[in-house]
Amino acid sequence: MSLFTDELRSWIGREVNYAAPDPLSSSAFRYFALALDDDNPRWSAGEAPPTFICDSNQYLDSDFALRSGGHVWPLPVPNTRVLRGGHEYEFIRPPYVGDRLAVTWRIEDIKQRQSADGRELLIVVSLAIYRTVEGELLATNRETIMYQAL
Amino acid sequence: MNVGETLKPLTVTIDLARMVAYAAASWDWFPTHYDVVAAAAAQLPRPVVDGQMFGALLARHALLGARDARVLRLSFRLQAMVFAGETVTVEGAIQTITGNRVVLQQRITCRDRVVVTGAITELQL
Repeated sequence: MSLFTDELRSWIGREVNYAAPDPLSSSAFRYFALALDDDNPRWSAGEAPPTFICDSNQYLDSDFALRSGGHVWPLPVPNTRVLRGGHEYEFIRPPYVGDRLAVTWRIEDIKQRQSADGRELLIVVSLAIYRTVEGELLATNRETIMYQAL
Repeated sequence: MNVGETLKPLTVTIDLARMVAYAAASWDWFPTHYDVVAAAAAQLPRPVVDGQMFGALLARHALLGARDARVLRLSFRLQAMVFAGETVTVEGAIQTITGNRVVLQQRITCRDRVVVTGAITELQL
């Protein structure tokens, strides 16, 4: 049975928007750098580490989001496991302490492939766009997530 | 700084404490990234490192020799999983230099596994 159903096809182009409830903070940047053992002093001087806003889900505000690993699309793909395929980041300007994020996620494409062991693989490509709540573009993140049939 | 020049490698041991710290820092508590029981239920030998962490490590590596540079672009593909307690090495070389823009080609390995391949990072010096 194909993973790529008509219902799934209808998800292409869907979009969701989030607005962070509070501004980015210096301690969040410093803690992120500590987790990576990164001693670059810029991350303690008000500038976010490069991938911070793409990696951190601090703009979300629910227990579900916290436990599910951030933004997720509730796609109807039973009996699969989720694998991260990769990322394409573009950084327009560094986020700084005090910026408040507005994030848009959109499904750009869904396609089906076969994995090396012959199992079906559903490939979902999403684009996240990170702006300030005032509308200034900060970064984009094209994310590939794969659902592998069990 | 010259085209073809090899960058100093970055070696990081990603133990469970670092994984938990990254989960907290990224607000990402996907269970198999820290929970031994959840990892076992997913037929994984140990908690698996969040793939996004490798993007952060690629950026950190890119800035080792140019700490004031800005990362303009970064892309990578994940090829293999890394588990709690394993050590990864980030390597790379300068691919092109155009004015104040430097493009790096990088990869991440873990013992005999290629974890990340085809990584490209563009810096503005």
